[in-house]
Amino acid sequence: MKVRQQFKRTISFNRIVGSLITGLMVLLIFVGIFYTPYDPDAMNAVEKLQGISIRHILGTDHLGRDLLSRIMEGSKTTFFVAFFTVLIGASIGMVLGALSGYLGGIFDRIIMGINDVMFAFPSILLALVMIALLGTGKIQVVIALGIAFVPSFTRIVRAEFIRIKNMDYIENAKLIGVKPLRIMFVHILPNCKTVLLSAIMIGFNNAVLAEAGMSFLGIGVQPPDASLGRMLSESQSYLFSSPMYIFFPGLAIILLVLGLSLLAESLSKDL
Amino acid sequence: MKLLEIEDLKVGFETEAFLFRKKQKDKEVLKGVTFSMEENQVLGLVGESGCGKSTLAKVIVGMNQTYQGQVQYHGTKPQMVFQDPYNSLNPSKTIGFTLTEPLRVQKKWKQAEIRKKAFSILESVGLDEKLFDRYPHQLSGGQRQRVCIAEALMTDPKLLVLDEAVSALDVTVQAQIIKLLLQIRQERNLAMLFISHDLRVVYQMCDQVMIMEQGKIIEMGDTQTIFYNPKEAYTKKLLEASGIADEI
Repeated sequence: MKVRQQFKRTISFNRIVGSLITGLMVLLIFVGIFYTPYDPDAMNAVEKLQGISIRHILGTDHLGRDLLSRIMEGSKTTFFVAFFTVLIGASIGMVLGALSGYLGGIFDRIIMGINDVMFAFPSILLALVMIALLGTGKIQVVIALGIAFVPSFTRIVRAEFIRIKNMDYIENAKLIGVKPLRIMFVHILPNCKTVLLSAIMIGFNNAVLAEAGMSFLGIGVQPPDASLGRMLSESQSYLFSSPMYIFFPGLAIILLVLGLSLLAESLSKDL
Repeated sequence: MKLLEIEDLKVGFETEAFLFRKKQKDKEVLKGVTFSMEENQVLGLVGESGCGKSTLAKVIVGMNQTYQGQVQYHGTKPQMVFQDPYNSLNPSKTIGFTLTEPLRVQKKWKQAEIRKKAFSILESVGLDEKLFDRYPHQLSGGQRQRVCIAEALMTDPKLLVLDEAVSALDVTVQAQIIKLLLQIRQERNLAMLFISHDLRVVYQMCDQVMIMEQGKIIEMGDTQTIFYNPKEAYTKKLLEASGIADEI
């Protein structure tokens, strides 16, 4: 009994802290769509590399741009890149996983074969190849990462479908004459929602990190667009002269990922 | 009038050839089964695990298409009620959805008609209308099994295949479900193929009994005759093992 109570308390701790952090970041991002304290791209040669002050709450960067405004703008970019990456990865992965898990046979073997080949490469390497083919830019990053994320979703959905398709209620659905597509997406898919939801949360975190990583390497979002990864990469030359410049973008990435991880963990235990 | 006719039914499982595996012609599960069922007849099918009872049930309702021989049913397609009520209802769908699905896929019914029918069938299996919007995890085992029976009745079948349908329930609920089944049989002029390993339940429910051993039907006749004067040694053994022989 006591163990159970303690268990419950940790769940709610994760949930509360997770939603607070995620709420803060989402608030920052959505306010950033309509209002930023300064124009995030406006340079100011006089106020370069300032520390924390009243005029610039988080200071300025090496071109005199307001850091808070740029972090708001950058988080927005990172957030939406991650969002659409997961959207592409999850929807394609869901359809492929459903077909391959439900139909089985030769179709399953082909899909899983391609999947295994893609798994053999690190996803950032795959994304690099895609970028080399498509060129750089926000949309290209979304497409590249989205495709790189498909295999993990395919695998998860396929495993769930294989588990569920042999249940009596699916046999019964076949018996009463439900069409295969309807069985897949109306009868089986809703039962995958728990697993799928936590996979989406984890996938989102990975996408945030992958986008930051690519932008850091200079193959992601291109200047003058702000992105958290780009800001890290630009700030590394000023690591010692102006430590706050690298601290705040890094903090933003950490908060975005940490908040969602905590939330995902508490949700997956609860569902 | 004959409802179901099965003649010389054979089912075998094959493993297909792949890479280093040879094509194997495996054991035959059903080795020439022949029987027929009349309207409103409750026929028991008894046998030990692995003798082919469930395979026979699957062939009858059309879940297994790889058979040799003749299977013919007259009228509406037979429906099936499964053993485990915790496994035979979709956990993410409401009872209402589960009940209306068999008619919804036929595409010749209006939404309102389907709902009305579902409500009347819910009532006839002794469930409250309130359950229509509930989920399976909010129901007890007995209620779930009633829902499964209701779902099977939605298409107005003339034959119901009950594969160990009361085996997973505890004794009091079992008695209620058996009573319900017999009552529905009267109301709807329904025939049932009642598969079970529990001879007591079979004795209570069935008019005729078939005894199955290793894919063959070895004895068939009225319940009374089989239980009082078993001819085959295997039947005697079954009766003795169940402890029912002393009581009769």
